[in-house]
Amino acid sequence: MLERIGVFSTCLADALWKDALAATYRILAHVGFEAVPVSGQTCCGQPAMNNGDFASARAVLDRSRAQCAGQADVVVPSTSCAAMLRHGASLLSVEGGSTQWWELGEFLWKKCRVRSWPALPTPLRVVFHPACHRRMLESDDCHTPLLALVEGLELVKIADEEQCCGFGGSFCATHPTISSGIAQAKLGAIREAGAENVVSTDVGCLAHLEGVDRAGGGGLRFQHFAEVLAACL
Amino acid sequence: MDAREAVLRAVGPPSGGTAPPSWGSEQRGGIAEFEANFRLSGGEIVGAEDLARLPGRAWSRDRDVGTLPDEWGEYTDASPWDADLGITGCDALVPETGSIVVSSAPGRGRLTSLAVPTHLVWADRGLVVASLEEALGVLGPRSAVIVTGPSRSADIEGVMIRGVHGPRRLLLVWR
Amino acid sequence: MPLTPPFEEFRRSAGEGLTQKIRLASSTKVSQRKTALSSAFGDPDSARIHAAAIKDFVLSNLGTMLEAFEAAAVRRGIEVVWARDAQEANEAIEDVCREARPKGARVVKGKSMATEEIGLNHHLEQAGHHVVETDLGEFVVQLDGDHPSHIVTPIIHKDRHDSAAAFRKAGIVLASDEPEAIAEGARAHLRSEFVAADVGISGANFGIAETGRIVVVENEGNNRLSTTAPHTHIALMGIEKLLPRERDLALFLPLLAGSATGQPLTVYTHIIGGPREAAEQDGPRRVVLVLLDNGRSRVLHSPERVILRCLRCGACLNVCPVYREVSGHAYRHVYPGPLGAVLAPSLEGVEDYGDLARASTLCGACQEACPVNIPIPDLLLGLRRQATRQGSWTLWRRLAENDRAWRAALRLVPLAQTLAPGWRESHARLDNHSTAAQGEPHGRP
Ligand code: SF4
Repeated sequence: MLERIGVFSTCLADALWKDALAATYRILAHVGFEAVPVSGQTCCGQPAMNNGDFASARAVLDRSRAQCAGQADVVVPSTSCAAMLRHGASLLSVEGGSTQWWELGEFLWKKCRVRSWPALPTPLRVVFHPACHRRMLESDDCHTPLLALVEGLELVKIADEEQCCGFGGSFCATHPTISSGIAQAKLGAIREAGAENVVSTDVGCLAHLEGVDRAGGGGLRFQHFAEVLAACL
Repeated sequence: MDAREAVLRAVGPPSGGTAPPSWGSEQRGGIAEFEANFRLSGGEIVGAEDLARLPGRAWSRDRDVGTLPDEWGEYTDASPWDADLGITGCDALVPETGSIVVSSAPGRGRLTSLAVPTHLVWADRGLVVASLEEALGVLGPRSAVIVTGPSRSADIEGVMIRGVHGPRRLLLVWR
Repeated sequence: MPLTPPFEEFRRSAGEGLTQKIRLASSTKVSQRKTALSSAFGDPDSARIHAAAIKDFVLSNLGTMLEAFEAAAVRRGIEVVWARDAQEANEAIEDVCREARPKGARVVKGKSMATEEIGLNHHLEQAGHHVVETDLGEFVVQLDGDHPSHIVTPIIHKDRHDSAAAFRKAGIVLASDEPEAIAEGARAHLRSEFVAADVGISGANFGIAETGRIVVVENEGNNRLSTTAPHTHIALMGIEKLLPRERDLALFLPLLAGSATGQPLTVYTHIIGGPREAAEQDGPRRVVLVLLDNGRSRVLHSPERVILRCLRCGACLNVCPVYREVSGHAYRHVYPGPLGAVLAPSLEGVEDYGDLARASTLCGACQEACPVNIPIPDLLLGLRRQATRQGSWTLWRRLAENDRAWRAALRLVPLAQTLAPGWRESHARLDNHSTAAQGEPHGRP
């Protein structure tokens, strides 16, 4: 029997990028898990936390963590939500539970020790944009090693690759000019490197970059990390 | 309540404990590494054959460097403000950074290494220490300066300029 | 909060040119920092974590450290003056200047953010003293009546022509607008100031509790001239700047220099041990150290306490995506960038500076670059909390506590995004992906 594993869908993927979720389920099935959505899940609490209402954030985070109670491992296809469930919880002094929350790539690389992956059907040159909240996961880079396993995938380096995309949650609504300015710097570096595909682990980053790219008439293609891995299956 | 008392009170009582150990660098350099890093910092190592071409003849020198060898040529003693060249000794040479440690002392001026356009260090190879930490242990009891390359600034458009206020050239000649 | 936050306003009016300049300069600095730190330390990360632990020890024992430092400094002949706030510090410094020359002293200054913080130049000039900034960048700022926009490279917002214009306006002749010529102009002009000065004023990067010495780092030599040539040297140092032992410098000096400018060490590291001895030929005859609190003891007991580890290296500014867009003046405070976004509201209150904490994507690049590992994003969140009524997101919370309602609301997100004014400008269309796997909740196939 397949081992069951919880998936915490994350709001942005649910609302804007369902392909990333579908891909996550396919990947988890491929590595031998029966993936099921955490029942009754809603949000990790980030929006309230980032806006300074710790009380509301704590209530929601607490609830989400409780929904996962009893599950040893839960996979989160978003770096920032995974960071909220772990680092954010410690900031809010939310304790208890024995669930481990894994960002998808982390789960594959560290927990499942994935060291080989099927090839891409058609070759792809991609820029990997590392989501900033990786820093709050305090975990080594698991994504570029995973992408490096994929035959047919060429990772393209860009200038200032560690720079933020400018999303920042509600920051992009309160500070739209700055936010899109940051995105433009990133998009400029991507174009300069001659790449057309951008891959990241967070729908926030992807949707933001895509929005700014489209507004400028750009034709870059944006994919969630899970979509790229699932395309090999 | 005077300011001292007020600040100390506002700071509050200490929580005690012992200080974490010092970093304890594992750097173990030698003369070759010093020379390489000294040059990297912009310093020039000059040999006997270059001495005749030292800039100017108005020199300021620390008393403790002693008498200069004849082959350095004729010179006149000048105040550091007017000199073409300032000659000092030093206390330590740091391989990992290519730095020179010059402590102040009677007979050892501070301006001799500073107000002049060219600073020449007359150094003994035996002064190369193993690490920066060791160099900090041989500082004189008063003031000291650790010099790493000639004076520079990158304030204007990030363009590196030599010799803004301190010496434009930093020379070293082995004793 | 106003409809258009001040930062946004600033970015809109500043335009692309400034941003391009800052982005380029910052990006160079970031790569220089990385190269320098990895060659100085086998493992730069453990070096910065060790440095953080040493600073935390200092902060936890600040009272005893300050007393030990004071006693050791006094034994060396350094006069130590304590100042509760900016006014006391300004007055103490003015007193010493007046003692040096009652009818108005000639003062040369090395670069010091602490003196900017207390508004020292203005105070001394009001009292009739003649004050000259001698750091090249700060000199341009002074000539122009401007403010520094970076704590390490104060005129990052100006190009060579802006700087040259400032010189010409002040009647200083330059051979050309080239950086070399500008530096030469400054050197020639400031020479006579150093020779004639009665008082030299500097900041302090470190004070050593064990030995009572003061450490000042710089590249140009102006700071050393200011602290050596005049009769009197006054150093202004924040009370948090102490290190336990002199040998701690072996960690902190390369960490600071590498983080600030990508050098193995700054060109000059001055270790100042007091006035000249009778037999010495130069050096100041009087050294006065002013210990500045000015809100630091309050920060020490606040949630932002660890910001007091800060070495003022500027690395967090260089990596910050928001700083790169707006540069320093947008922060309205002497301490800009991520450091300032914490320190300004912490020192002056979230009422006046709370918006600084909101002008961040919380990307965490600052903490990663910080040589003393200050968790700036966490501190920014804490400041946002202080400025926000707890429970103001109750409606959202209720929604998030009911998964059916939540799922219904999520369907409206793409629509809401296309309607929100900020988003409409920059996010043309976001609905394509949401149609792909509709139906099953959470996109399960
Ligand atoms: S907060 Fe850290 S990175 Fe920023 S200036 Fe201070 S020491 Fe440097």
